[in-house]
Amino acid sequence: MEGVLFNSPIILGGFALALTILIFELRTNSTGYFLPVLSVLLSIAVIIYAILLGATLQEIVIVLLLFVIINLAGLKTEKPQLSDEKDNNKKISEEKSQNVEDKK
Amino acid sequence: MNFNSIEFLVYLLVVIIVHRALPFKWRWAWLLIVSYYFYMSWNPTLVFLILGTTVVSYVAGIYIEKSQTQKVKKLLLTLTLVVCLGTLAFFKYWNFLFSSVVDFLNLFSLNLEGKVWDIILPVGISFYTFQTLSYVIDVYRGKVKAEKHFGYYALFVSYFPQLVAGPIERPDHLLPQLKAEKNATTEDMEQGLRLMIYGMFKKIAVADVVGAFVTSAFGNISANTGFSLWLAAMLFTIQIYCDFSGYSDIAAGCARMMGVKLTKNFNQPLLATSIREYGSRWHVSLNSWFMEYVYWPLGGSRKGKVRKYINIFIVFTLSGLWHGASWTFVMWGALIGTYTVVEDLLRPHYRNLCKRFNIDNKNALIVFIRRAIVFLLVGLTSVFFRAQSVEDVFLILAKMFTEFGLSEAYVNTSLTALSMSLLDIIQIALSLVIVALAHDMAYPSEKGNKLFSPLASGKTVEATRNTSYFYFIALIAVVWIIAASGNDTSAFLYFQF
Repeated sequence: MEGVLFNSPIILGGFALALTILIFELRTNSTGYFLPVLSVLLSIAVIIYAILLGATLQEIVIVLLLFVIINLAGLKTEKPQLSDEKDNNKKISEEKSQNVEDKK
Repeated sequence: MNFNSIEFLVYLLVVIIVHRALPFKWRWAWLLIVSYYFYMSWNPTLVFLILGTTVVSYVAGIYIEKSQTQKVKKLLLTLTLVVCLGTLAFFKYWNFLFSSVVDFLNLFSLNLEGKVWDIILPVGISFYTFQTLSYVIDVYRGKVKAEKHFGYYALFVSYFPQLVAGPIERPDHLLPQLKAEKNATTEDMEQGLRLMIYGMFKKIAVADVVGAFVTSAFGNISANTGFSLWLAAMLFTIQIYCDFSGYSDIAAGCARMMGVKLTKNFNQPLLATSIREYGSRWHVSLNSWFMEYVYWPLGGSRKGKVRKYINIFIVFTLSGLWHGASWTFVMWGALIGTYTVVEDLLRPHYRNLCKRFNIDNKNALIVFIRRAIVFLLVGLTSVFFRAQSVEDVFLILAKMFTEFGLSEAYVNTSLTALSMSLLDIIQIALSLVIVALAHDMAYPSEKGNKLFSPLASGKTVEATRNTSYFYFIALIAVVWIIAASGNDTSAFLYFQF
């Protein structure tokens, strides 16, 4: 594929590192800001470097699209459980585990 | 003043800050002033039109409620309908009607020549006219009380987030919110911002990007192949969805930041599995307006199947005409109406078929096929919606169904005709993935659900949510720069209605 972005190991490596930090932050369930900010700063640095090397804005857009997708794919809404539903679910799971123990 | 302009963002910031600082009893005045200022930024002289419509409907509402006899109420309602719809008809449809009559008479060699008047179409006239009509009709029906405070009523008609392109609000939904003495909460501000970011993304990063290829195809039909025209029709479906729903999201976001919840105008219509479902998810406020004030008064489905289908056809044809003063829009509406009727006729047979062959309608493959069929059918109607003339419609359709191929060389030729590269295709595909994924971010459940990351064992990850905002904004900014450098920033498509 043509383009500065896809033919520069430094740029690809920089973005890959920023993405890795982001995914690592999601998996380790960190609630701090250090890792996300580091990822963002690294992305900004790589983008500036890419533009200086002659990357087109469209190539930058495609990378940013990937970053947004990774961020969004890591987010979902959680349906709130009504208190009755919560109690019922708790009872069902307790009964299930009791049944498993009885079988043993 | 377009929503996707720096000018508007500055304007909005000032509006929100002053709105928050003012005591409750004066907020309506501030919002009314800025709403009229917003409207006058399009064309100052036409502000008298919206003011006139506001005064007529305000007075009508009061006197309809005061009248003791049904006959007088009906007379006042009729007069108001004539004045408001007459104004709309003159400004929007005069030239269309006049030239249609001239063309018709010329068919009989009467050779009449008519001069088309240079009538400016006031921005938002279709929207605020329908909004005032719903108020007057609801007062007549006794559904709402007439608003005595002229300031609040004028604000209801001219409220700037939804003034120029909807959603068409009902008086019992919007008026109480405008009068409520409460501040926007932190959740309102956050939700408003999310909606605005989502809307801006859909407009700037998807609709405008895709629109360039659509314009290229529809502007030079002969240079395009059947395949490229099919692609352009599908891309236009995406463009019009992202453009209009993007606008609606920005409008909803602006209003939400002032504590007002507008009607959700789109509910992911491109994921519909039937035409009926598509209709219920697309431009919800307009479709529900036609249902309540045209379809049901015509009898709805209460007078037999034939009458039901006639009513459906009338409603959709009128909806097409509402969109634009052109036979292509009328044909577009009629086609959607035809789809709806045919689908209704085929529905029992489809159900029998599913039962007979044990087809599970919730099966992922079946859902995908149904969505694809609906998308293709809707894409076909895009030709009518987008084409400049009836002649162009038939030229495009002829090419789409007679000049089609799938060989590599043919596809490459088609993409070249559209000036579309592999990077463009990747960009559009990734953008559409974001439109789908980000919907939940923009519209978390009303019950205040928390966003959480499944990768992080179900706990809320605040930091990650903030980084997604950063990348979103960065993305919008970069695409905006690209568009601005090529002078490609465009107004929202529905402003022309």
